[in-house]
Amino acid sequence: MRAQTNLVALVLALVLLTGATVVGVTFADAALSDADRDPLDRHAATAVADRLVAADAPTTVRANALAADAVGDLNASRVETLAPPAEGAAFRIALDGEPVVERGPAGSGVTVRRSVVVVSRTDPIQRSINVSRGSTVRIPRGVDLATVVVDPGSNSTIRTVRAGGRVVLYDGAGLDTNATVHLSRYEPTTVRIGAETNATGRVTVTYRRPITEARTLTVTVDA
Amino acid sequence: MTDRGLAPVVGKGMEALIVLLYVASLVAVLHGGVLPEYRTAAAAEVSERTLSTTAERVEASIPPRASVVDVTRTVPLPDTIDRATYRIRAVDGGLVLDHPDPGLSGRVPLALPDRVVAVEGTWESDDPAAVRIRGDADRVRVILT
Repeated sequence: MRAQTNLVALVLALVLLTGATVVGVTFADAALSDADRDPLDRHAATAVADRLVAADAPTTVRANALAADAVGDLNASRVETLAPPAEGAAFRIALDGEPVVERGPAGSGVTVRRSVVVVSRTDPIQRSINVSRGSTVRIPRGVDLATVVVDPGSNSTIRTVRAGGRVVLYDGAGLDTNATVHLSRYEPTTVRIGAETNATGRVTVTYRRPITEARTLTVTVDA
Repeated sequence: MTDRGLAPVVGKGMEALIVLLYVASLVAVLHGGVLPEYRTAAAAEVSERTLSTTAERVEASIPPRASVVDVTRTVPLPDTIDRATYRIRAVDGGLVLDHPDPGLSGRVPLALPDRVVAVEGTWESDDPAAVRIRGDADRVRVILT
């Protein structure tokens, strides 16, 4: 009878051991499924976001500054050309929650966020310089491109156009041109004409003022 | 009378037999089903992560536009996946991981700027891996060495 008591204790011990093993395997299972973080989805989402805000992307004016019109023209096939990892995947690109491009249900995918500014430009602003009075035009901060049209009057020569003290256009024989000049966008620029005294004519400066808005770019990809 | 002396021997023998059977069945279940399954699942995860981190590494190595570009970056690779060596090849603008087990192989496309004209080369997992980027302002080549 004593031997049988031992046997019962042994069976009980083995049952407990089995229970512990099952619990251990269950925990291991949960840990393994928790560790599955869809690295390829994450890579695709990061790639799309990074390519959209890259300095050399067609959607930006500089790094992290999206061009509003280019963003408006975005569609699924353009996103795929820009970032091949998005090929065949469901994705959603949104600015501050407003969808920009959406293809398929990307609800359960991986989301990547980027802080960006969206740059839109005003209608062209045209300012004239009165050559005979030697006046100047002040261009506000933030403008990086301006079109200068030089139209000298008869028998007068306009040799130089300066922007912020820097010579941007020069012709020793006299300017008569329509040119795009680059300006510093970090400070206001004064455009000044270098002409002989008594010169006449018209110089117009045309620029578009950028309007920037801070937004959050959200990219969700579910492959 | 002889039976009484035998009873404890038989009892101990049965106990030993039961424990042996139990251990054997436990080893069989763990090694036969659970362990290989976990090993494959973990290896698949490592394979996916290797692909995505190397792809991110290559993408992040592309320097800004410059007249001369010559950049070399080392790429950390796990020596083996599921105890087997593998290789990563550049194929058609993407990275392909070739593993003896087809279930652990995979492909990831690369998101690179337009000025990258070619991605070429192969990495062996047991050799030191590096990515070399050479070119000029308009044409850049990415070489896996």
